[in-house]
Amino acid sequence: MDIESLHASQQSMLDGQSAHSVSTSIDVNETIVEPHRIEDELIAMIMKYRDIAQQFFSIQEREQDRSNLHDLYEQLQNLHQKILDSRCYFQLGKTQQTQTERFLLDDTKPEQRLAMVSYVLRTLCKPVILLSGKATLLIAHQRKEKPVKILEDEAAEIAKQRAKAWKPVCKPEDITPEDIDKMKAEITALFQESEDWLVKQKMTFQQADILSQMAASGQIAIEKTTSNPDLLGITTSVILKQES
Amino acid sequence: MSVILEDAIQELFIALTTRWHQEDGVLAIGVPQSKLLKAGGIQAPALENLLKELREKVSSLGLDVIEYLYKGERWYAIRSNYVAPSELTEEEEAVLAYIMSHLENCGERKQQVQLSTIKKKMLAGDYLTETQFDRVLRQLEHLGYIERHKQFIQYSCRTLLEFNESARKHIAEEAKQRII
Repeated sequence: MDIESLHASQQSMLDGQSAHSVSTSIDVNETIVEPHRIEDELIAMIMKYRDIAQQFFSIQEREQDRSNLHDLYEQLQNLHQKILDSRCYFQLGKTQQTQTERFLLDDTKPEQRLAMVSYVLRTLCKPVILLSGKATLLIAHQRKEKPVKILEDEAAEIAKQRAKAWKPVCKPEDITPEDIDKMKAEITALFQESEDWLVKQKMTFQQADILSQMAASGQIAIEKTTSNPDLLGITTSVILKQES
Repeated sequence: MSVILEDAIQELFIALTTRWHQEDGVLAIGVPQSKLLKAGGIQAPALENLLKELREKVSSLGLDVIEYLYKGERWYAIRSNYVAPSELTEEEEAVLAYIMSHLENCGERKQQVQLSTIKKKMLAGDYLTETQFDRVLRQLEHLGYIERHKQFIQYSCRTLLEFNESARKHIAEEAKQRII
């Protein structure tokens, strides 16, 4: 080593910047920040516990604790390394991945997940073409058969005959408002005769029509007592039936 | 091209795209060769030529004439070359995708999955009610996507025609991740 380099190394030693410096002096004003470790946290908690325990526990109890804490302290020295070195660390990566996916999926509803899956399927579907409609694929021997006669004329003929046979059942009559009021009064009088009144006598069509209108409008209520418990409470309806 | 040939190709297209059901009520995918030969009163070579002509005609529409073996017989159908909407509902698509996620993991010999496995997952995860699931499964079977043999489900021809192997694998993977 020549003189110039020697001077250079001496200078660097004085400056404390040399990589080969053997100085062990530590500047008290400079704090060395180490990475945060689990065991530091645990040790700090143990120390705090020890300080608190002085106020509440006797010396004998504290001595017992101190021996236990000492053992615990040794175990905590490399706790972080133990976790890293353990085999479960490698599985934890895959588990973490699955858990992350589940965490994200848990935020979605089942319907949304179904929709996602169906979307994926839909984007990859190349469908077979199937159309609705009448097939014109004829079997060879069927081409020789004669076409079937359409029976539309017969159906029309039957409809005509039915229309002719129909006769009107009801004949329109001239009814004045006074007649209607009179019939209403008659029917109301009939109802007032008895509480459990059942109309057995025949009435004219107009009377029956008035009766049904009054029942529909709520002016009268037609009730039929019955021993059948299933029919209790059921509102009866007025059915008009004209006998020829 | 002669008029007769044009008519024949037209008829063939209609036949291959007609919607009809087989005896068991399942939707038929295409037409079997025997039926085409009988209907046309032609021999197999003539049918092959017709199909070739039809294939050339429909290729410009993005369609393709496909043939496949089903129950020991050769069938013909027309399929889209491009992705297009299917006739399945969203629920049916999702259930089919989940069935694929199980079937794609099976070995090549026996691609089938237990009905109870699918049902359990769909019901337990609140994806579908029992009524909905039964309805979906019935519809998938009716439309020819799956086949049910006792308590097992397996692919039917339509699924294999509409989704190629890589598509099925991708769908299976996505369904497995999302249906949890």
